[in-house]
Amino acid sequence: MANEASSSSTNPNRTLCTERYELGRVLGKGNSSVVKLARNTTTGDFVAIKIFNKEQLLEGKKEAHRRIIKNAIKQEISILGMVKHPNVVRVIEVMATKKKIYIVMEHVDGELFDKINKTSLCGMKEREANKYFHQLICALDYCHSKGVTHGDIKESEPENVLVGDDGVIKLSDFGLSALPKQADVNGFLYCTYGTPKYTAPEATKFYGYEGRKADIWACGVTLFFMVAGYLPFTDADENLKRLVRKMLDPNPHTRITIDQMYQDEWFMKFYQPLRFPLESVGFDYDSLVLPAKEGETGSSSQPPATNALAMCSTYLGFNLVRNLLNKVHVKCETIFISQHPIDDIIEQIEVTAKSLGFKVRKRSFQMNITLREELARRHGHQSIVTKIYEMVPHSYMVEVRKVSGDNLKFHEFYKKVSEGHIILKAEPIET
Amino acid sequence: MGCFCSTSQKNKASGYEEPTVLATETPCEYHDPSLNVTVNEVEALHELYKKLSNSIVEDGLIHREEFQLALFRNKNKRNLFADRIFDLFDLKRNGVIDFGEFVRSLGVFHPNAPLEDKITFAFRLYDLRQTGFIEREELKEMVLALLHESDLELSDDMIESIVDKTFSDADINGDGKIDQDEWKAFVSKHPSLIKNMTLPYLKDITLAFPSFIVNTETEDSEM
Repeated sequence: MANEASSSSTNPNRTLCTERYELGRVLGKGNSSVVKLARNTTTGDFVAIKIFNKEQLLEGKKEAHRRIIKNAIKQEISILGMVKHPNVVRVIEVMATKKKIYIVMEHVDGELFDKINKTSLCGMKEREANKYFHQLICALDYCHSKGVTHGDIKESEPENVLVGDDGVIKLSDFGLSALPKQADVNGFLYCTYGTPKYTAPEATKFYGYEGRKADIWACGVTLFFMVAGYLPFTDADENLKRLVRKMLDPNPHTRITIDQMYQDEWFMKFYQPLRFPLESVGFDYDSLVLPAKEGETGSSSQPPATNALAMCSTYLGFNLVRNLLNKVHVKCETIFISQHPIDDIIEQIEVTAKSLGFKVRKRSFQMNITLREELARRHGHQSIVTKIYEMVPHSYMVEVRKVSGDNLKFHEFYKKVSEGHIILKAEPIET
Repeated sequence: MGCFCSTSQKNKASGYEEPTVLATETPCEYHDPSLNVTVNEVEALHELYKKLSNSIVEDGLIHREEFQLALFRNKNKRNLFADRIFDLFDLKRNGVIDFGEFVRSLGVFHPNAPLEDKITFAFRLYDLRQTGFIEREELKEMVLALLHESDLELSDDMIESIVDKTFSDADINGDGKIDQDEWKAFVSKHPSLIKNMTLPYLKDITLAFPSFIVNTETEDSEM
């Protein structure tokens, strides 16, 4: 290692953002940040990079105050890493130098604002608005379920409700909007809602307010703009007007909640559970389809055989090294061993899945289990894969793996499904 | 694996490592451009390393007990596989894992790391006695260990039959042990065998350990 090191002439300065991304034009500017288009030099993918000036955020502040701001920055970044939803702009990574912070995000080339203007002078068609609005609420619902509020929803400059070419809404800037104004001169943390005209009445005051309710107010304003453009929406549907009014209720306590929206007449008018491309749902990165390999499948009446090395590898796979990395130990796969007849095992999986609202697709001895769409509201798809292997005649190893979705739901599933069987204790920690 | 740029090579070359010196080494020194990893990612790993290496003994080095604590939330729990992984990470075989070893070993698990490295690492893991072969006894020992961990009792006949079947598939030349080439062939037949050698999570390391953002030593360059 020493020899290798001595021959190195790597310039440590090259190791910045510039090593991986080529920066391009400015996409937008905020109070203390600028967003630039960039390209990953290896993959060629376009990304948007939000650049903060760290110095500027900390400038002229006392040490104790600087510490508070630094902690706030760390916390905001952790939140970004937590939020993964098809209707939320994905944060790819974060980079930093002594002076700057770079937040690398997926690039979405379109704004809701443009869609409104292109459609017509008096807003977009009701049905279209309904469709966009479902996605917006779906994203918000998901984030709120993670304890994250947005704090700055708006479809005007600088826009953070984005729309891709495929018509998929992507909410951006979760949490981040609060960054520049996290702490006042006394080091007291507060956070006002981002943009005045989207700000709920209670959020303009200096005492704490409920972020979720403020987000709903802002969505109400957004919905109003979507359907009304810049004109009063006199022609609008009565039900639509009523929903907007319920969202723009000045009293946060009586303002409509997301759960209530799912019972609202206008909201449900054209409602269809959202369908997401599977790759965009991936919580776990592995693909949903674990294709049954031809060679391993054998006759269809016999599950594929496992071998001793595969057992070791599986055992090692879902715990040891990964536990080193995980701050939070989340169990998203498990294995149990069963000596019940194979048909009973399959039946138990199917019955359990159905009782929890899942539907099951079977192929050979693999079952893909997904949450029925009408239940898939907040998490998009919940998918689980189970695979059965034969260890020795009459002994089977069943692999149960979460592909995407909620951990709690997964736990509920595998607990039930492995009841009465022996669970391989490969993962010692439960959350 | 590529080189890890180190400016503290004197310490390395002497073969003796002053813990305090190691503890003060900066992550940048371990940045490996060949892995297509940025300094920031190494810095984020360093945040993790700091936690692991100071969890029991505050000396900036990962001891076996600290390793066990991270794996099992229990410093006294030992396990055949955990021990093997520790030994493989401890490249210098001095009973502790320093940051250089940590970065280098975890590098094998990076999605961008060469497949070849992953296959080799897995082979060394299963080659318990480091004879250059996975022997029948070693495989049986591993199966027994993982069954034991799970409080699962299978009859000796069953275990023998699982091990036999594995050898009849993997031990091509029939000499009773699996060599590197046979292992490679077996892996290419069953790619899922090294699925555990890739941790996609390593790609998200900067989001998982964002503390580096405020501690970074990375200089600004012309953007």
